[in-house]
Amino acid sequence: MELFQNGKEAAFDEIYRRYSQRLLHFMYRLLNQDESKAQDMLHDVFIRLVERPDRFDTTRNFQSWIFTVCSNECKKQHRSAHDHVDVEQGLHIGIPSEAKLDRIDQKGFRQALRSELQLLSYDHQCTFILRFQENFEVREVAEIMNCSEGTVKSRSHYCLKKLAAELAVYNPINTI
Amino acid sequence: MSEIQDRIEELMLQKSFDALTPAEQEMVLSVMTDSEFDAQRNVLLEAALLFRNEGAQLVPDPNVLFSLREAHAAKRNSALVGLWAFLVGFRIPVYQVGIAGVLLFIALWSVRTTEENTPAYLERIVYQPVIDTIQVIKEVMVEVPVERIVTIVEYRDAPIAAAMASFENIENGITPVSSPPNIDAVTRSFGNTTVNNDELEQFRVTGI
Repeated sequence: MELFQNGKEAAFDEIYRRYSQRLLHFMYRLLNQDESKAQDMLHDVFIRLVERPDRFDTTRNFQSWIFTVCSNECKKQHRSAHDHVDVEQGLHIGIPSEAKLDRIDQKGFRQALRSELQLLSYDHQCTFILRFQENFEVREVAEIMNCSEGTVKSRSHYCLKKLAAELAVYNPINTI
Repeated sequence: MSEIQDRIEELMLQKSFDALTPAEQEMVLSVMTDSEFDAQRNVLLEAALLFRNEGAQLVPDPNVLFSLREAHAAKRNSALVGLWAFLVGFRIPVYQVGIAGVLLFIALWSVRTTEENTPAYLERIVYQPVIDTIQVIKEVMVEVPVERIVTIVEYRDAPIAAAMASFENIENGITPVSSPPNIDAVTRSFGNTTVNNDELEQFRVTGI
């Protein structure tokens, strides 16, 4: 990052190569699996990096910093599209439990998991994704989300408990 | 409590409830039921699988990188343009420009005056030490004895011998003898024996 701040274009390419795919996936999840929106957001985040590289403090961990930036951007987007999400949530919530019971298979479980993840609050969703998709430590998640480690553990535990309860009806046959 | 939750989370990723040791099962059962454990474990494993498959399908748009490179190049160029614009757009009062011009004129004029008073050039001799190589050839005279063959011709007649003695040897390297040698022609004549000499002596004295 220091090299990039000194104007090295190759350093920027290396940063993009290392983080673009992970950040895209992270934002794709937080933006309700909207790939085009995630691509745009990825572009915006890196444009900010290009225009104001001095905003990054080189004494900090770049990985945590860039994920914090992306998380904040997605949170803004999440808030602005809150009404829209509510409509989608209503659609998911409106699925009758009898219908779920008819799809007792692995595929149905995964589909339901995908939907249930979107129904989590932004903070819970972000915590779960950082913890189990990006495999960050609790300490790193706390740094990215600007909260205590206890809060991260609590949110993580809540997510697991809620998802397991919601998906219990699927009772997958082939557990891994 | 937090440590137990962390430990249970680790166990969920490793094995099912049935595969746990009795001590681990006891620890899990202090927090949740066995079915809850397996249900949460299933969520974790399925989520990991979902994320892995999903991530493999998502690829950043190549145009994003292209666009970012262009933006980066434009940013660098704009920095240079900005510096130039700052210099060009720099505003100062007119009187300051006038003062600066007058000071510049005075400075140039004084430099020119100094140059006129100074002779164009000064000629002086400067001795510069130069290192050169000189070869000294030393002649050594060595006397070498040389043997020469000298032929001495002696004649029995004293006048002739004296005359011939004035000639140098064949190489003309011998200093001539100042006076002819006193040679007894009879005694030194070749072909006579000692007996003959005695007879001749007797003949010379007695005449017999």
